[in-house]
Amino acid sequence: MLSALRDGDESAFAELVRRYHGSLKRVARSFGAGESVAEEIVQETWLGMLRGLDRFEQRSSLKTWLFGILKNQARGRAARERRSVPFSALGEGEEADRPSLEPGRFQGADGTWPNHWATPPRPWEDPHRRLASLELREHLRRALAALPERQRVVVTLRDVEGLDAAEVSELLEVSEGNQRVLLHRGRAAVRNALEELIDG
Amino acid sequence: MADSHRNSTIDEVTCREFVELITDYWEGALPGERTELVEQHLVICDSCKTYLEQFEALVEALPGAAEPESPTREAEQTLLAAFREWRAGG
Amino acid sequence: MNGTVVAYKFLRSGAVGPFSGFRWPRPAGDRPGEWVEGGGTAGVCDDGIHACEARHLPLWIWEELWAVELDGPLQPGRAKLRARRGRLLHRVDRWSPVSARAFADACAGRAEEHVAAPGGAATAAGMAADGRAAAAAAANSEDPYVTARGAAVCAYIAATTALRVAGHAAYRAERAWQAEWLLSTADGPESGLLGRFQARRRDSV
Repeated sequence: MLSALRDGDESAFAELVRRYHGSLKRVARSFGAGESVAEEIVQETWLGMLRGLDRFEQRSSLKTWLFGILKNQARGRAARERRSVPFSALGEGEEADRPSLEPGRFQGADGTWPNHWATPPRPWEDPHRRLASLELREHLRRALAALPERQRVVVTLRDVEGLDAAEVSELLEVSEGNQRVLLHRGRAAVRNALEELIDG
Repeated sequence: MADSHRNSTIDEVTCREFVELITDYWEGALPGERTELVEQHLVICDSCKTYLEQFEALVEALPGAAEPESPTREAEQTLLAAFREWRAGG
Repeated sequence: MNGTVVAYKFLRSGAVGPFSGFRWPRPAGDRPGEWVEGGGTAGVCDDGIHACEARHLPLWIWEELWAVELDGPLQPGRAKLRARRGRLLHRVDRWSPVSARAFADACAGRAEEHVAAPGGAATAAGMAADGRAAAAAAANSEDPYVTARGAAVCAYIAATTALRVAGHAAYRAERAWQAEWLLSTADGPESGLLGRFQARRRDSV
């Protein structure tokens, strides 16, 4: 693919755009961009890719490199709009310390079963099939969108777009441990949202 | 029996702890001993098995929740033009 | 080169690994199942083949009990053994819903004894009651999962009530009693659950 691009193969470029446009757009939105801003960021990403293509040394995959360009575009944009601080500068703070579930879901030290479930999760009927339904997919998206930004970005990159832990850590300039904490918190929050929905 | 309270805990992973460890467990980021305790807990706890299954189903479903996106015609044209320009520029 | 070791392994129905979901190749007639390599084999744990010694059996109860041969340097965990590769030797048929029900009942009784001790009721009576309920559920079921789970939970309850009422030494004694039960019946070790298989080293180290 890379050599085809460098050779000026137009159809290779068109294929690349088709393949990654969706992912780039979704990740741009996970960074908090609205629809039109996300579109612009993605356009800038492709242009940035072209500008940097000759210098790309393939130390990472093309995909990771693309996401890196996107991230810088998104950040640059946010900085210009004074909207947010750089991703890695956000403190660990509250997010990492808050447990996945309300403490009351578990029994206290003097319960019958200390620190075991007080209100256990109710099994979902056929969970894999159920979550694949159109209705629940929409709820999944909403639950994702409702996450705090850092969790949203990590869950999107890891679980929706399929980047691995090392790629995401590098991309976001956080440790693998931090990235994992954010991933877990995000997943737990989405599960909670689904539980509320399914259990009513 | 006041004395027994002093040594009335053993090393185990409780449900409260288990729910925080799933991602680490899956990624092999737990030390071996902790992994063992997680597994021992799953032997006896149906509720945590349920929670784990829900987590699994969720992670499996997330890629499918990706909203399909295609570039607009206009965007594609702009990009192709940019590509041709870049190509021509040497 | 180390010799091999015979140890034990609880599996889900169909010789399926409870955490890996790996379907173990089963023995056929007198032939053991094929060797399975840990670390890299699809579905099997990265850090090797897991099994346990007899004394840790109560911690790992599932539907099927197997004797397993381990090869390669043994790495002991807290309550398990890890080896480079292993193979199933023999299903321990005596571990069945029948024995699981009996074991669950026995452990439920043990828990009740523990909480009957002075000071026991305050801390652990609720748990012991849950144990009796779990044993009853197992008693009314033919399902290997329900009976195995009943056995595992009742063992946990007996051990935890012992711990809460009387501390660490009592906990260890309870687990040792449970392991002994699983290893032998009232008739003695020869006719015990594990028959001719006892944890033993074949190497000379």
